[in-house]
Amino acid sequence: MLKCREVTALASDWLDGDLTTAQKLKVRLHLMMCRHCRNLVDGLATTERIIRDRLDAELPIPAELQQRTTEAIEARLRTDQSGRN
Amino acid sequence: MEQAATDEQQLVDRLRQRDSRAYHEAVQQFSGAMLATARSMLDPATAEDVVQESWVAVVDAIDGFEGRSALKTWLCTITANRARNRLRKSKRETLTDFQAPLDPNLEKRFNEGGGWIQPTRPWGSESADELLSNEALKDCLDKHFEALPETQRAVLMMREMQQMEADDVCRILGLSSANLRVSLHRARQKLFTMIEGFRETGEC
Repeated sequence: MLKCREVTALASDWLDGDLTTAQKLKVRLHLMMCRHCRNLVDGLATTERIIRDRLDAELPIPAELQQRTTEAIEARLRTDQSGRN
Repeated sequence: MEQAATDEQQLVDRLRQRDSRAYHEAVQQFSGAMLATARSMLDPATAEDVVQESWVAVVDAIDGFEGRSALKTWLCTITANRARNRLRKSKRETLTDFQAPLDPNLEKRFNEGGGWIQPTRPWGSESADELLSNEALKDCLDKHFEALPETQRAVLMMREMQQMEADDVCRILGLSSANLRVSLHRARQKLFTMIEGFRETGEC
């Protein structure tokens, strides 16, 4: 029988489906009997959802960065073009 | 979804033809994700320089894009590689103890026998929706994300946010796949204890 601390250590892999069949059975058995660990797993699942939904996967691009990036690309494209001719 | 794939293929074809308008569109569409990736490892000014350099590198590399991942993921992988090369080991870096499976704040909630001393209270699905729309939580989450150790922050950004391949993330950060998982788990645990505290007290 796994201890609560061991289940907590495996909880992230459990949610990702990355445990072996034997580990999955042990965690499932523990969760059936332990509401504290069920709360932990629910909380960790909610945390993952919040991370994916609320952390910024994209940042606003300053106009100056966009400008100089475009210029740098065009300079590279010109070099590329003259190299091919 | 199929339309999006076709649009992306057309954009890739135009990038390969060195069409400057295509690059302009792609810069507008994807630089935000590239900047977020670079910022997870670097200060704002250096991160912006890395995004610019990465785009110039893309002109040379686009012929090698095989379409095995989405274009955005590929661009973020190029950016992360270059960001990693720029990264100087920060003195603030708190190294993750890869042997310890739990974040210290979670570890101290167990007794020596591995049982809970301070168990988690119930999390309902309703409270998840409330949390998702809470602007103060968003600010608090951003602050705690910034405060994560560098490796944990970079792993969370690359794996969870940009869906980069685990092998690529391991290679870029010089981590074994086991240590990649530990870093990801520890970052989630840290943000879990932060959100749990926020739920209970309403404070960051």
